Amino acid sequence: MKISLPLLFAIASAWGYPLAAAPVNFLPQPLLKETEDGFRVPQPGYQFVFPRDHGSHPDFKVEWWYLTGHLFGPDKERFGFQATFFRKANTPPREQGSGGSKTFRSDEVFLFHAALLEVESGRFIHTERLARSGWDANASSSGLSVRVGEARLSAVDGQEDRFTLDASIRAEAGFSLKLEAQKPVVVFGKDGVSRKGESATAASWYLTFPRMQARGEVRVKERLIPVEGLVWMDHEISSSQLTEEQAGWDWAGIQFEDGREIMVYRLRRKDGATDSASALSWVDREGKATYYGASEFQWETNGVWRSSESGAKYPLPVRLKAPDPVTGSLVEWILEPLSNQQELDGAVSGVPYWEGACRVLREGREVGSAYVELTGYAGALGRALR
Amino acid sequence: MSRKYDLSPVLRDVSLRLFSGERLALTGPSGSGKTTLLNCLGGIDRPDSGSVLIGGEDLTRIDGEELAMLRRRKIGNVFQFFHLLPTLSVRENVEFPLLLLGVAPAQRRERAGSLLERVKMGHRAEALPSRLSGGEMQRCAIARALVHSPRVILADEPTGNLDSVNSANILELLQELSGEMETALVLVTHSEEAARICQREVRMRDGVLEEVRG
Amino acid sequence: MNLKPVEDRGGTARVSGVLLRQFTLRHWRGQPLRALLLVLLLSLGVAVFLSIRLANRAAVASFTNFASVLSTQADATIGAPAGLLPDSVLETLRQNMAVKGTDISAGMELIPIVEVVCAPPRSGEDGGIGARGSFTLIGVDLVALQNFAADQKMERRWFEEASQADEQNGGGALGRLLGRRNAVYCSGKLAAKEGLRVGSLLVLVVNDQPVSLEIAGIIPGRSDQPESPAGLLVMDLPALQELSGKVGLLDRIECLFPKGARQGASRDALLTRLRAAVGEAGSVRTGESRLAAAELMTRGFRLNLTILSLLALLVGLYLIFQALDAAVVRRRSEIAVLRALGVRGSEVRRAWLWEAALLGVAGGAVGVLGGWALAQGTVRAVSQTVNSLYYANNTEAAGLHPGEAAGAFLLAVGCSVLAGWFPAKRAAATPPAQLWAQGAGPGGAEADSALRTWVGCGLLFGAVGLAFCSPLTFSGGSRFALGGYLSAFFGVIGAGILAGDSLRLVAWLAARFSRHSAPRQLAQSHLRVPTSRHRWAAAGLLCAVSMTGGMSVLVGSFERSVSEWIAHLLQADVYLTSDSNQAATAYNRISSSSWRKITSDPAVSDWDAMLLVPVEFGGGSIRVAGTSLDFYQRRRQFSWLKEPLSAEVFDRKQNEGRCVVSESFAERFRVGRGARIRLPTPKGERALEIEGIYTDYGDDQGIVMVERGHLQEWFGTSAVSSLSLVLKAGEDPEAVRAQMRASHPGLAVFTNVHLRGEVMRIFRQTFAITYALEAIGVAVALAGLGITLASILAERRAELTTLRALGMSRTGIAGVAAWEGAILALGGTAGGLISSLGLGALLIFVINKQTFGWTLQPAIPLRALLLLGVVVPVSGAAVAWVVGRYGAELPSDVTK
Repeated sequence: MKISLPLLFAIASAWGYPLAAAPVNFLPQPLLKETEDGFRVPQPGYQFVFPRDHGSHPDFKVEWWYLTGHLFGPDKERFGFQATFFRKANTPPREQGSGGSKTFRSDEVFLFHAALLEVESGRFIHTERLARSGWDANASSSGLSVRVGEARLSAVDGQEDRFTLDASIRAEAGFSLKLEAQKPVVVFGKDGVSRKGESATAASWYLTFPRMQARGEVRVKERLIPVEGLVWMDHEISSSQLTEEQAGWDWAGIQFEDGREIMVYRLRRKDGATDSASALSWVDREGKATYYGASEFQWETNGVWRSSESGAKYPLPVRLKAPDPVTGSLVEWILEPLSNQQELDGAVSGVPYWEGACRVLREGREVGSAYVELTGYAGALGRALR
Repeated sequence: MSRKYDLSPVLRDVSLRLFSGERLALTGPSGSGKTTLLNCLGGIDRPDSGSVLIGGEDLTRIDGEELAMLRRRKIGNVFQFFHLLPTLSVRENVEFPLLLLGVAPAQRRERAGSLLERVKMGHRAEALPSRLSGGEMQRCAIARALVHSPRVILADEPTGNLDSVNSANILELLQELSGEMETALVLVTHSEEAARICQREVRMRDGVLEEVRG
Repeated sequence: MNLKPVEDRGGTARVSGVLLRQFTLRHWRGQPLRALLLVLLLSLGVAVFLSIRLANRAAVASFTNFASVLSTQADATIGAPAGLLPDSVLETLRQNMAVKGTDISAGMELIPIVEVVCAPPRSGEDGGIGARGSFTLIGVDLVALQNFAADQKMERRWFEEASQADEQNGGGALGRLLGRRNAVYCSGKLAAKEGLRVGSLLVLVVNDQPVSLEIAGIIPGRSDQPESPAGLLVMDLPALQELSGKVGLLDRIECLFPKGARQGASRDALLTRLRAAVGEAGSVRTGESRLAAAELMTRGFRLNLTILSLLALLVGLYLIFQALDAAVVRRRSEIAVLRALGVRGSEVRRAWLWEAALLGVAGGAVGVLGGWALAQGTVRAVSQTVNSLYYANNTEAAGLHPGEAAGAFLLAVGCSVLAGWFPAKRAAATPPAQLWAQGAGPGGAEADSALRTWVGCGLLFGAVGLAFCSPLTFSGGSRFALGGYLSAFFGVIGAGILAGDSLRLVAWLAARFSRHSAPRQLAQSHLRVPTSRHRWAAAGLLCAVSMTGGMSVLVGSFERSVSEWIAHLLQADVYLTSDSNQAATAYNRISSSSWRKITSDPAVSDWDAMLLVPVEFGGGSIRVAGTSLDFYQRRRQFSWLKEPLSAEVFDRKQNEGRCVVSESFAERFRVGRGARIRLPTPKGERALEIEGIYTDYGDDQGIVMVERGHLQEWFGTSAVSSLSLVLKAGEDPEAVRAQMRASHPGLAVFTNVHLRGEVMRIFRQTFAITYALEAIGVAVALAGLGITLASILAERRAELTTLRALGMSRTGIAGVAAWEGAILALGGTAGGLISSLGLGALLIFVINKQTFGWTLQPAIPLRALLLLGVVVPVSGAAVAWVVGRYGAELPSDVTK
């Protein structure tokens, strides 16, 4: 699961972030069918139909497609990248499409984030772009084809497991990738619905391709570099609100060299404690998920990195302890950032957060790569989330 | 030298020689050509033929700008109508030739100061010419004419606008100072008294020069 | 007493410095008023010149594109050659560009814009057209705007006010803002001026309806950039599309190229790619060309102003010349003594040039400050004219542009030195005291008079020849009458040179009347052999009078032509247009329902409607007017230059491929009756044959007139720009006007009388500045006369003494001067009046025709010219008398 960026719509209302796991001692209220403002709430037992359900769901308030990955060039170049497409509806389904310009729609808004890390030099560039639905941004509901400005994510010829991604970061860098899923899509959550809070509408449908093979090109300034690597793609659909007690979350998506993945998130409460909704999930080589609750893993830190831009103090690197379902024993990994400066400054949305490429070390040996997300360390999150 | 204006000759074959420190009176009726001769001597006018040499330099061979430079160095003028510069004080008037020559201020002050004392105008050093009497103005003019140690002073009727007392003073000054500083003096005058301070006298008559005495 | 001889360490610069310090500056200190007067006079010329330049600059600068609000410049602009762009172009463009993430041209921003020029509704009977000032209402995608704000590091985000107000409501400000139809952002300047806050209402007339807009916030900016102009309002684009009836349409798309492709080869490559992607759907212009279009439009107007302002400077030059010359005369004895003491001629000349330069520096500095102050007034005047005639602008104040200020200052110093050249030469030619005391002339031989006459005649012939030159053409069709201006210049100078010769004639005439008066006889005797000073004074007067007279002829002809044209054109009883059409680029329209209702009013017996649209043609912009050609012809509203040979063009069934054009159009694009033109329209190009050419003084860009029905079809609209109504017999136009005003608050309604008055007022306003400049010119020439006479008197010291010795009284001497001055002034004026006719003809038939393309009916304003012919000599005599009276007090040669 990738939790993030409701906070990026700082001026708009926030929406909920779904849960990926149902922790043991977590007992939320039963789900409603609709939110107060008329948006649908994801229901358990929904039968997903692909490729259609990879596309947009306009009856739901909030949706995003979230990609991160590690890319390698022929000359030992290494990159970390992120590309996120958010959709948010301004008007409930029954009021949508009622007159008004089709080229400049006022009922739906998109937000796009992209970031690129050049590991060798440590150079990190990122961009944000807000666009209204219409000519400048749209998402198809019959299959995956979402566009914000010039950035595009679409399925190849209506296929279920092949996609193309095109994005540029201002005029400084860009990437153009072909993605091929190595495992079938994972639907997280109990009965296909993921819950991260107790409220009756806080739920999401959570689809993930945790391992995709990427091939394509990265451009940095004038250089064009052919690349290959691994990508993680999340797709979440929801309509909900957030709870007051949460200050933020830490999240990681880990891809091990042995072909397995871990997805883990820790929700932090305002008093500093870990929320009981936190969870960790393994994905095996066939794509089957195994869950662990908040009490069964530990997320700690070895140090702190302070951002000179926002003043936030991020707990890095991360020390993660969790049981391995294959061996049953507790394993400890260090998630070490490939560069400390991977903070997105939130110039448009107003809320900074840290999203960075890391290497995964076990007993000093590199066993995989990961992306770590730390939110809520720079002040305004609480207000923005409400 | 000879000089013609229009078609009538003003100076006919005039020849003159002056030694340093020598005082020469130039007399004659009006229209006789004295002023013309004086102007030629002073580099103001140019003879049609012949040459004028001052300290070895031939005035007829150099152009207007050079002549000005030469006047600056070698010639001092005393006029009938004084011609002090109205916006300068007495001291500044006297210092002026030195200023033109680029002398340093301290030196200028010293030289001018001593000359002013000598002509008994030291106490009026800061006054403007408009406040002076004719005699006082002429005394300053004399100081100005001498301050840069010229080779020759050309005085055109210096006492023409003064009363007898002042005239006598002026003439006495001219006589003394030119002797002390070994400056030649050419004095154009009508007055017998003025002519007497000179060692030589020549008379102009119809463009021709005659020695009278000396 | 023994003093050593002194070495000469002289250098020219040092000596000149001495002269400057010990003489020039002391003279100024002793006569501070005189120096001050000179400085002030020069500074007046500089101030006028600079103020006009600043006003010109401010007027053009206000025509900016929206990108400048983002503190950046659009690299390219996509527009439709005619009408508006369909907003589907955006999607097509994106697809055609097909940019990949790794493209070097990735990151190009497209900013679609809808623009409406409108004005606040009237409040009672306010001032005429253009008095209310215009607002430019820009519709832009407010969501996409967030990205720029972040990029450009704006101080504040766009929705800060809204989101602060919304904090209590749990956010959602953006969403709610997007839904609103009337939310608008204004500039901080406007908010401060009108006391507006978030939630305040602002009412504007859009098309034919007053609309209430709510202030949602202040346009953010950067602290290091100037604030947005007060006339700018920003709305969400789809909301403005709806509000202005432009649903599905855009005025233009501004393009910002990515950082790597803003210059050089990569920029050109991207431009080519953009053009290919746009294809037939629109035209792509680079950023400079929009500003250039505005400049082009007003180039003729602004150039004329600049030339007039140059005049002011030249006049200052003339005065400095006269004054310095007079000063040379006054200080002659001093210069002679200096020469006797051994100061070189070159040193004297340099000192005088320095004096002129110092005057220039002082006059220039004061002039720059004065010019900036004056500019505040001229800006208003210029921008109002530009607003009415050309495009909307709301210039509040002119800034002191450093480049212009520096230019004016340097010009002042340069002109001063130039003016001082001749006097400095004269001073240098002063002979040493010995010669001068004997009265050996003032030095500087008088130039050969025969040569002068030849030169004068040569210049006049040259002027005549130049008058037949073709104008310079710039791209976009605007023209500059270079030959005409040069002809005017040479002509006036030539006439001025000959003025001196004419003095002799005048003196001879005066002699006939002088046998019984001593002062008169003496005066004319002086002028029998005029000195160069006399000639300069006469020439100065001639120049001033001829220019004033020539302008009067032009203005008189204009008035006559325009009144006759108006009488022809305005035959209807009542006229209606949108109340927002306060500026020439406001294309607000009257909706079909409104105009149908108005024209079916029972008081109306006949009516016509006109639709006016801007169109790109021949590299520039023109307007196409759709009207009922039959109505026009029936009512004889056309002032034909070339009448159509057949009546088909007036028959709406037969005139789809026909048009008539305005005179400016024909001149600008060099076409005549029978020519074929291709007009761009949203539905493709239309071929039209020009059937006739008519006069239109309201337009200098060019108008193509076609049948309204066809135009409406080509542009897909049933709205119109204005209506003219003919009322039934017995109906009172005022009553109808009042009734229509009440029922259509968004429309401006004029009666025939009122509209005529408005048109004339706008025309007169255009000439307001020239009147001021003319007056200055004449005043200065008179001042020059005074100065000249003073110096002439100073030169005649000996004569004055003799006169007094002979027993002439002071009044008598004053009389001599007065008659001398009167004869001079008369000579100058007479010559000036004659040449003003020639200059007037030049202005009418050459300069004006070539610049604006209008044929004027010449009219000689006898009253104005007569006034000139009387006022100038009388003033000259008066000035001369004063000079003579006090000049008679001059101390003579004898010192105490």
